[in-house]
Amino acid sequence: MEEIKISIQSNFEEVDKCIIELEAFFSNLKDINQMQNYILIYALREILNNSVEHGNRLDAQKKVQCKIIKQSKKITIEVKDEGLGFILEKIIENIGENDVEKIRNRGIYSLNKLGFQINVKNNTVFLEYIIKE
Amino acid sequence: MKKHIEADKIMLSLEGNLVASRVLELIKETKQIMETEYDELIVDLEQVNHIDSTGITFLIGLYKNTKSKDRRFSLVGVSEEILHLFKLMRLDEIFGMKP
Repeated sequence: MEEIKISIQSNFEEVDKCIIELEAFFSNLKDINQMQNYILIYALREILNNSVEHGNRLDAQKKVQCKIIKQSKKITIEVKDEGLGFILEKIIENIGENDVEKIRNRGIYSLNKLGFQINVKNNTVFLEYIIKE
Repeated sequence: MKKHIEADKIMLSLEGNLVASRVLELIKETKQIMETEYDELIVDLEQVNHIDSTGITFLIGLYKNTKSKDRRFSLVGVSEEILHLFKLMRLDEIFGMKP
């Protein structure tokens, strides 16, 4: 099992720095090809951005905690902020998939399309990704 | 970002990642360009590695701006990874992508 935990302040520059660390973590993992690596980094950036911007409202005093575990072919991601949380079902209801130009909450929409299982409990987002051949 | 104007075509070559930390600056840089007269806007993503939903929304903003003025819009230099994202989000239906 491989694991990494990172804590960041709530701004997008910190997200960028965190992503660099996570890229190094993923590049050392076996079984993940280049496209899967890219997708995982994309997903992490989306969830971290959401936590920084919507969860913690870019408050410099608030932190975002990120934990990633790889166990065999399963990658689990947990991202926790200090906000009030959100109801995933309401986000998904309002996506407006029929008009490509007007899709709302594009981040969550895209994660679903990329093959992630998404769950939200209070102020923590859980993503699960299964590495396929 | 590099800007190249030829006749009525504008080519914007974006550099670095098209992500939340950079998009505000890009919006400022492109605002004036978008108000000029042109027939076609070509956005070159050859030097763009990573993109997030903020970056995608920025591109959609450029696309909608050109469309509202009956101008042509296309993307070039799109990496395999970004193309994969665009296809999943059905953005290949609206973005004209040239090789």
